[in-house]
Amino acid sequence: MIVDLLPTDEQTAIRDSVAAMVARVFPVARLHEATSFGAGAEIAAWQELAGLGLFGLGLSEEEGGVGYGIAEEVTVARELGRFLVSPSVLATMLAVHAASADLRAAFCAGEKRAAFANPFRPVDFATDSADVQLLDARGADVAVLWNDYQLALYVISDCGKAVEAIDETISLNRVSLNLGSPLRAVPGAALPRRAGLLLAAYLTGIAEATLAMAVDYAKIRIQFGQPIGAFQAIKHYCAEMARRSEAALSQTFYAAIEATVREDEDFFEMACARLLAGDAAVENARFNVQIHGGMGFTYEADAHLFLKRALLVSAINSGVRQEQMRIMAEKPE
Amino acid sequence: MRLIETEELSNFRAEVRAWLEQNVPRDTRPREGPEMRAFDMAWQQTQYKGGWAGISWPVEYGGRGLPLTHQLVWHEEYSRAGAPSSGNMFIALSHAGPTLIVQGTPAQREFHLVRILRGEVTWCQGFSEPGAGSDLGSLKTRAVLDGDHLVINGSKIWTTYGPGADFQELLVRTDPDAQKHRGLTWLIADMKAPGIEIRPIRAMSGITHFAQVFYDNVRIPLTNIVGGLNNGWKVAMTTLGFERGTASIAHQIELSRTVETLLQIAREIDAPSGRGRAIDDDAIAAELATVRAEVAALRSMTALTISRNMREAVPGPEGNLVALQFGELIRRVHLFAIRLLGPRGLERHNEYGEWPIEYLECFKWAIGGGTTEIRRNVVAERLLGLPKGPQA
Repeated sequence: MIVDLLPTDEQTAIRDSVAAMVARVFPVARLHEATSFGAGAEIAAWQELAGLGLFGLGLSEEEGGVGYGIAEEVTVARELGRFLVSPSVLATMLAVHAASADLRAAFCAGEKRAAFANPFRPVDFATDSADVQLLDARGADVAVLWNDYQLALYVISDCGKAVEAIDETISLNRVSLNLGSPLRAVPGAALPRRAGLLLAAYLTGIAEATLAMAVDYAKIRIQFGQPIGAFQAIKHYCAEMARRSEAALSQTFYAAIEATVREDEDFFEMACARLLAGDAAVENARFNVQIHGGMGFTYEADAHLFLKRALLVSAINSGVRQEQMRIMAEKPE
Repeated sequence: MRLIETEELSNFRAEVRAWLEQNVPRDTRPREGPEMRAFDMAWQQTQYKGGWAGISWPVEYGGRGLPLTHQLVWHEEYSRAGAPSSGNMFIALSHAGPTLIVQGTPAQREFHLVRILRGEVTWCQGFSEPGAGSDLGSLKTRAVLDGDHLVINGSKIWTTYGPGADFQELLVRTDPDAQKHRGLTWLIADMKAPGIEIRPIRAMSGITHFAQVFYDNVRIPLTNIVGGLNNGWKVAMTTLGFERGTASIAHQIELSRTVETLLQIAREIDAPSGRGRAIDDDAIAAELATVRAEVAALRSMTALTISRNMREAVPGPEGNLVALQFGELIRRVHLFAIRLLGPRGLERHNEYGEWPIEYLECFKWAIGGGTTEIRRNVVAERLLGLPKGPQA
């Protein structure tokens, strides 16, 4: 399969418009204010996100969408990751693909919001209920839950018990979801695969943002009479961060294109992307803390926000072992 | 971010696949000696006769003049078919040829390019010196002007496929007063010229495929200068750039095949516990999955690099990221293989292959053409813009 992994002109335009809006409305510094927690800033700007066409981006025009595909959604998800935008934005971008016509229209118009449900064990949709965590679900309408064979939407009637997340800027609730009456259930691996791709792209954005932060800091922080970025130890950390970012980015893009081409629903490329993007996000965030030294260890700096978010998002309906098992289950061509 | 495999390209792929199925040599490639060189040249001649040499080289020099995408398809199918590495032809096909196409004089192109494609000559590289490895700019082999010739004195080392080579891409110092990277010149050296002595070097794997080359008043005509006097660094960087671009795709697909072979072996051999097969062991399965993912990423990173190369003529420093990924990954895979195989992994030749030799050989990828450490410096300084370190 011969691919062009650089953005097309249209993808660049989409990226630029989303990046401009996100940088203006959701600067990372917002997350130092409790009013921004639990998707506070996103909820306040939800109409603007809808106005940008985010929620109908990958829907056909007949479905009321913009008419693009997974590649463009992945482009957007990467920008959302850079600014640690609430995962509920991603969840809504995903949920539109499973929604009925009415709900789809409501999502696209920014009238309804979805949230990820993170199950404590792989979901068996034949059972009555599933214990899940809901992420940034306060005020959300619909929970999105999937396993390898199906993706389903559920009405959020009760958020359950609030728990404190490792990333305290995200609201986390424990609840037992009644699986018997989904709003919609879409069988097949296409949407679970799409979920994985969006999350991989978001994690790639975190990996890239932390690389950029670390490099910027290494250029200005002076010790022993020179910028710390002149020391090889720091340079080599940064070079490895760049390698991990490049691996995550190129694999996620490749998997996104593959998903638009292959009829048979195969998790291999997506699982590779999720595994590597998760690793890149967590490792780069960790090294960003390290390169920021004492400041990196403080609550006041931004570095910890990325580490916490990377740990949280890389664990949404996934884990290193789950992705490894998916990779072993499928044989690449 | 889009698929560019057109119907034309798919047809081309089918054509390539069919030809390779019929023509890939069945014999095992010899690992060293004149037999190895003869094998590599014969295989190149077969490709030339089949019309598959120089797919992206200009038509006027005997190539097919097809776009880079076709070259890529060729590399993909080539590796998938298990075709032998280009070996002794590698420098000629992937370094010297492309460099001459970009930087050579009409006479140089006319003489050399078609001979390369026909598999009539092999080339070697003369960049590194005993005192100039990663620090290539400090090389000392001197070239002094004497009439219409340059007279060369000094020594080159790590000259892969040096024994038997016809020509060498030789980097020499022509201006001793110039700053490190200035004052170098890229030359075509005739390896049969008087005053050249080649001493083979045995690698830690036990295989002999490279050499040290000594130059004692070797006379090279000025017409053999490529890219102009004292412009050798720029020409050499072009060459190294090619190495980091498409040329790496064959190695990358070969590594992918290696990992799939390991998966097959893990399905056959006993688990470390003695119960079940190795693949049923969680730790083994986890490592196999991780290297599968890293190899997939290597393929995607190469695709991204090539996407960039299709828009910019001269490859940028991003190619180092692919080399970093490859250099560390190939060693990880082969170390895993030796451990997976248990006692068999200690045997240089056994029913599963020659894994100890492969393992020891693959260290070259993290050393040759720029060590991992130098590549990290290059990424940090040229790609990320971090301050220059001492001298680098």
